[in-house]
Amino acid sequence: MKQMRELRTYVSGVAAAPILIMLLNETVLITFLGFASSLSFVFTISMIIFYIVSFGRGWFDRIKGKDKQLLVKTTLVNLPILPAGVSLITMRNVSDFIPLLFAYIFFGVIACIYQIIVGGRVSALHRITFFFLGYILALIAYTGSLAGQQAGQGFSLLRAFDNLSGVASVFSLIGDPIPLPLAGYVRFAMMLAIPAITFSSLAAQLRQTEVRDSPTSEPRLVTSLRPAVALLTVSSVITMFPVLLLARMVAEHFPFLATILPTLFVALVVISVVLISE
Amino acid sequence: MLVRQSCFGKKATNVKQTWSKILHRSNAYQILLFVVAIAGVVVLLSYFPEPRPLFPAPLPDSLVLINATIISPSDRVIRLYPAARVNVSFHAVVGGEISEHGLQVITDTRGLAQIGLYGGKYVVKTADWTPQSITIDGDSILSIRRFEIEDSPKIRINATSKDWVISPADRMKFSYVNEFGKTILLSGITFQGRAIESIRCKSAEDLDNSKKCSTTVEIQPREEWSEIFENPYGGSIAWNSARRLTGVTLHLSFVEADVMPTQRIEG
Repeated sequence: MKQMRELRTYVSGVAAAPILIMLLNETVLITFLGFASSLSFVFTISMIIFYIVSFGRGWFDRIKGKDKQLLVKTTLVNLPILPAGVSLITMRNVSDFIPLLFAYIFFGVIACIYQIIVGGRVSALHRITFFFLGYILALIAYTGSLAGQQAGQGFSLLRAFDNLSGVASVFSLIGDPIPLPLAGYVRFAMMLAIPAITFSSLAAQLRQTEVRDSPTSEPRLVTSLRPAVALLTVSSVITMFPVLLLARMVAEHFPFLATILPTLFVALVVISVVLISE
Repeated sequence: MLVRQSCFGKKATNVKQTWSKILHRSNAYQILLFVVAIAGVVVLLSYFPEPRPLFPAPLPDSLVLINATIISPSDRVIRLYPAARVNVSFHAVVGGEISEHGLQVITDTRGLAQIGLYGGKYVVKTADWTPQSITIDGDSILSIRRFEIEDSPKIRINATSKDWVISPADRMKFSYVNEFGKTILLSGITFQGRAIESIRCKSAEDLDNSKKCSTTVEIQPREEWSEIFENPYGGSIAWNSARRLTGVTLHLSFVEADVMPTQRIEG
């Protein structure tokens, strides 16, 4: 694998650390194994694995016509929803739906991690989006598993989303977040992940530009501009310091705006300065 | 002079080249930049203020006053005691499943306690009493009453001889049918005030299994409970006396819980 020879792959691995901590822990794995006896869970996982194998071996390419390929792919991925959805709508039975949702969340996180670490042709925006999505899905998987086990259920979807509302406190949403035992480790991993994902995204953008110009070329541009990318990473961290100062000022009077307002303001100022100077 | 200048020029070029090498190729330089970035983020995350919602989280919408009492016969008079210092835990029923961990409160010396709960179905577990299902819908008074009853079992004697005398080795089968229409709890068996154990609990292999020998047994409505005991007299007794055997008492209890809505006093 070409990617394994590149530094950005390992840096991206560091970026995925907080997501991996939330996904690969005892709590989530107990829930995962707990659902192993559920038919909808097994069916969903079988379909996802079949999709991955088919994709990897190029079986979809044997189907003539892009529309037909898309139809088959969509059917494979969405087929497990059908029986669980019918059971949910007709009998209001969520017991099939929750394992199915958990399987989608679990594999959704794995897909995001794959795109963050080895995703070959993703841009900076894509990489950051995958990081954010992976983080949110992993948080749902972890919180839902933890709350579910505390309540004697397999997975508590309501409590998982309730915990997410803590993130949305900027919009004054009232949530009832539960304390997460791994929060300290995730916070520590985030300290490494933020510069790592910045570096990784910038490198991904460079690589994408390089691939667009010459699809089969070796990643020379990324390698030669690596110090510049590292310097830009430091610059991005330095840019966040005015955000910190503003956030501390705002938090004294409007703590619900401490996250979003300073960030948007500084981003606006930086973009304006760049646009004017250009 | 010219020589000196060229020498200086050469040196400057060398320095430039070295710096260029450091800045463009040195892994140490890149690692240093990365460490600086990480240190910056550590400072940022350490000092970044925690966002708080505009409004504080609301308290659970229903205030429940718990009144736990024990109703017990004493000298043929029914007496009512407050259930003091007992744990009352509320386990939410979500999707037909009872949560393992509940909200817990301890009653005071008057058997009273107060708790805030969200509306919904709960299973109330009070100490080792039989659990009760309740529905909370707004402010309420929850009355939990434990009725303690003493009753005699039906006795069958399994004699080992035809002597019409019951020897200490003979065994007796005590049985009891729950006629109360609700689950009752058998918490002990006494003979003339002394606790007695079934032969099952006395056998060596069952001693390890404390669950099997638990004296607390739940008896469902219309269900018959039975257990075999050694002759509680401890000596030989005449058959006629045994037929009129008195003093064996089953200590039973059942629990009733009801919720009455109250009006919250505003002001």
